[in-house]
Amino acid sequence: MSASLSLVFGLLLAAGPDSAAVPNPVPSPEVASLRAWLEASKTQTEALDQKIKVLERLHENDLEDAAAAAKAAVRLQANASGLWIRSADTAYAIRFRGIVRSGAAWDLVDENDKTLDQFQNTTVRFGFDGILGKALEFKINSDWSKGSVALQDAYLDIKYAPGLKARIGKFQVPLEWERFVSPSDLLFYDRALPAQIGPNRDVGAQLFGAFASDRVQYAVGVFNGGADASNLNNDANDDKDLYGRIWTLPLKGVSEYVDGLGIGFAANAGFHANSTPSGYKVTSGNSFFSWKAADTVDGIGYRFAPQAQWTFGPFLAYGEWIQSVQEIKRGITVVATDSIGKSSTNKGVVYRYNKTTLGVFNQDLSVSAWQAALSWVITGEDANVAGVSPRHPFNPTTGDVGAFEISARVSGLSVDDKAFTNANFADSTVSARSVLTYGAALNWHLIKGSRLQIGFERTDFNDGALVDPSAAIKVVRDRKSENQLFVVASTSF
Amino acid sequence: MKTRHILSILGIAASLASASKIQLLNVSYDPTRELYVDLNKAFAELYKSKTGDDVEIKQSHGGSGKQARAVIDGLDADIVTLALAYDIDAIAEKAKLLPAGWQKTLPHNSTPYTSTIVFLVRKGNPKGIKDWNDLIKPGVSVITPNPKTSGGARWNYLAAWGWALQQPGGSDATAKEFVKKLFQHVPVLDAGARGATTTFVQRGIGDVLLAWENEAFLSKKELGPDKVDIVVPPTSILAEPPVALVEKVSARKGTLKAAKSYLNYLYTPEAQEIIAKNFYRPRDAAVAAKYATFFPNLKLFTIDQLFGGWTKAQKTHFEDGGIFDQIIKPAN
Repeated sequence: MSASLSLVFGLLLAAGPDSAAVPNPVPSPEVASLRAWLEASKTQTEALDQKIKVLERLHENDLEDAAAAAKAAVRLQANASGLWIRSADTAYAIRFRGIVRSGAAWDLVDENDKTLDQFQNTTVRFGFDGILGKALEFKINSDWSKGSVALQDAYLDIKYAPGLKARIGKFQVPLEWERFVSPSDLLFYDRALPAQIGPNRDVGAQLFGAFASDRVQYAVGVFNGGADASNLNNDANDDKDLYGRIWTLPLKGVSEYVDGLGIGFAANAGFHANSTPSGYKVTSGNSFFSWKAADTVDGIGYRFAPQAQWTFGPFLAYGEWIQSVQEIKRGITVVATDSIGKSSTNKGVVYRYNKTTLGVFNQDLSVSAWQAALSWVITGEDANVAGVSPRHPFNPTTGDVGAFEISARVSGLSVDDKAFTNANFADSTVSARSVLTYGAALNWHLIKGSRLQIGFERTDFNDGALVDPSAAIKVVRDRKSENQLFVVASTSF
Repeated sequence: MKTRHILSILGIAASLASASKIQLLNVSYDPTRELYVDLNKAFAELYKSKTGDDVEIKQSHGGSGKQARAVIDGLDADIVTLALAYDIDAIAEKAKLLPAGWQKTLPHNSTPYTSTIVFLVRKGNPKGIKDWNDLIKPGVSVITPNPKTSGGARWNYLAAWGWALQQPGGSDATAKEFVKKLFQHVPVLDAGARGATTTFVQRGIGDVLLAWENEAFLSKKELGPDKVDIVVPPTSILAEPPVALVEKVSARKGTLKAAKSYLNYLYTPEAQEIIAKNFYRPRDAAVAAKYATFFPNLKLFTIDQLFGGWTKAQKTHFEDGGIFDQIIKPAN
C-alpha cells in the first residue's frame, strides 16, 4: 500500500510545473499550494502507514505471546493411560489413575457348602503417580475394595541412569511373576496359586534398572520381610529380607517368533521370627490350608521363582514355579500319627532342637506353587499381559465390537508332606496337602483397559476333609472339588 | 562413603552401557546462532583430530534471561554462553550449578569476545541520525526490544543511559529523563533482539534499530547494502557476553573434558578468527589487529565503570519497580 501511494504521489509531483513543456521557475500560488498539500499528504500517509504497520506488528507480537503462553500453560490430558496434568515442558506431571473390577462368582455345585456365591468388587483402586523433574518419580495408590482404605503403594523413584534407579517406600516385592500384572489385566477371576507365595507388597528399598535396550532388567532390594500374600505397612522385628530378580529377553531381535520370549528368576531370603505363618487360599477365596494355632515362623526362610513368558502376535503363554522354604516352630512336642491311611513315618526328617525351649520342634517346611497359561486373541490383535488394545474399539453406533481373547490355565500348590507327618504342623482333616486348579475364560476387550470376562475354573483338593466328622476314627478324604463360574467387568484409567 | 562409591561405579557402568559419542549442549542467547554453528563445526573437527573422539555440540537459543531460567529449571546445559554475566550469576546463585566465582575461571572475565551497541538506519539515513541525542528528535521512531525480557535490550538501555550520564551536566536525573524520552519514541517493544530486528528489517517499522554490532552487520549482509546503513555513535557501551562451564551438569553427564576444551578453544586464534568473521570483536590482540579496520573506533564505557556491575544495574534499573518500570509507566 505504501509503495503504491508513494507512486501516485510521485507521479503527481512529477506532473507539476517542472515537467511542463514551457519552463516556469515561479509556480503559480495555486500550484505551490497544491504541491504543499501533496507533500503534507505524503507525510501524513507515511505516518499512517507506520501506524498501521505498528498495529500489525503489535498484533503479531500478541499472537506470538499468546502462542508462547499456550506453550507454557499447564496441560490437561486424558487418555487410556490416565488423567494427566503436565507442566509445559513435561518435566513435571501428575497422573490420576483408578481401577474398578467388579464381578460375581458362583460355585456351580458347592458340595463343600463353603463358597459364598456373591457379587463382589474385587478391586477398587484410586491413586496417582507423577514425575518431578528429570530424576524423580513417585506413586501413591490405595485400595477401597474392602470398604475401607488400604494403602497399596507409596514410593519414590530416584533415576540416576536408565540402568540404575532406586525405589524407596511400599511397593511390590520383586519376586512372583503375576504380582506384576495389574488386577485390571488379569485373564481370570483372580491370580493363580503362585501369587499365594511371597508377600504382595512390602516396605523397603531397591535398586533396579534395565540394560541393553531393555533386554536385561534387574531389581535387588531389602525389605521388612512379610509373610506369604501379606500386604504390610511396617515390620514386626529387626530382621530384614533380601530380594533379587532378573528378567531377560534373551532372543530379542533374533526373530519375530522369539522376540517376545522372556525368562526370569527371582529369589529372596531372610530371618523370620515370632510371627504366624500364612495359610493359603484357592482362587475362589476359600481357605484350603492353615497351620496349627501354636505354629510360628522361626528361622531362615527363602523363596525362589523361575518364570517365563512368550508372546507372538495374538498368542501369549506364560508359566512360573515358586517355592518357599521356611523354618517353622511347632509349639507342642508331639510326634503324632496322621489320619488313618496316611503316612506317619519320621524317616528322613531332620529335627532341630531348640536349646532354650525344651521340647519344641523346628522344621524346614516347603510350599510350592506353579501355573501355566495359554491365551489367544481370536480377533488378531497382539496379545499382551498388560492388556489388549482392540483394533476396533467397542462402539455400538459403528458396529465395532472390540477384541476377544480366550485363555486357559492350570495351576497347583503343594504343602510339604512333613507339615502333616512330623510334629503335626498342620491337620490334614481340615487342610489340603495340595490343590490343582484348571479352567478357561473368555475376555472381551471393549476398549484398551476395559473388559468383560466370563470363565470357569475347577479346583481339586488332596485331603482336607473327613469321611465322617462324627466318627470315632478319623478317616481323611479329599475335600470336594470347587466349580467356579465367574463373570467380571473391569475398567482402568 | 562405601555406598556412594558403589553408586558411582554402578552409575559409570550404567552410563557406559548407553554411551555413544560425546554430546554437549550450549545454551546461548538470541543472535549467536550463526557464530556457534561455525565455532561448533571447527571445534568438533579439531577435537576429533586431537583426541579421536566424536563430539557433537547442540545449540539452544533464546532471550538470555529466558535461557538462564531454563537452565535453572533443569535444561541440561554443559555450557552457557549468554548475553549478560547477570544471567549466569543467576544460574550460579539459584541452581548452584557452577561456583560463584565462575567469571574468574577463564581469561577476560570469561568473555572471549565483545560487542557494542550501534544504530541500524534506513538506507541513506533519511532522519540524519548520528548520535544518541538524535534518537529523541521529533518524528524519529526507535526500535529496541524490551529490557525486561531481552539481554540485548538491557545493553541498549544502559548504553543510552551511559551516554546521557556522560554529557556535560549529566546526572542520574538527566539520564533518566533522556531514557524516558527515548522510550517514548519506541512504538513496539519486542521480547528479544531477533524480534526487534524483524520489526525493523522485515516489517519496515521505525527509523533506527538499536542493535548489537554483530546483528547490525549481519542484517546489512543479509539485506544487501542498498537497504540499510550502520551508524556508529561516537560513544557506546562495551558489551561483554560471557561464557561458562555448567560444572555440575557436565560432571554428571561425564562431559567435563570436552566442555572445558570447548571453552578454552574459544580463546584460540582459530576461534577468534571465526568470531571476528561473525562480526564480534575478538579478544586476541593479533586477530583484533588484523580486523582493526573492520570494527569502527568509538569511545566505549563498561558496565562496571558507570553502573557498578551487572548485579547493581539489574537491581536499580530492571527489577520490578526499578527505573525502567517507572519510565514506561503509562501516564495517569
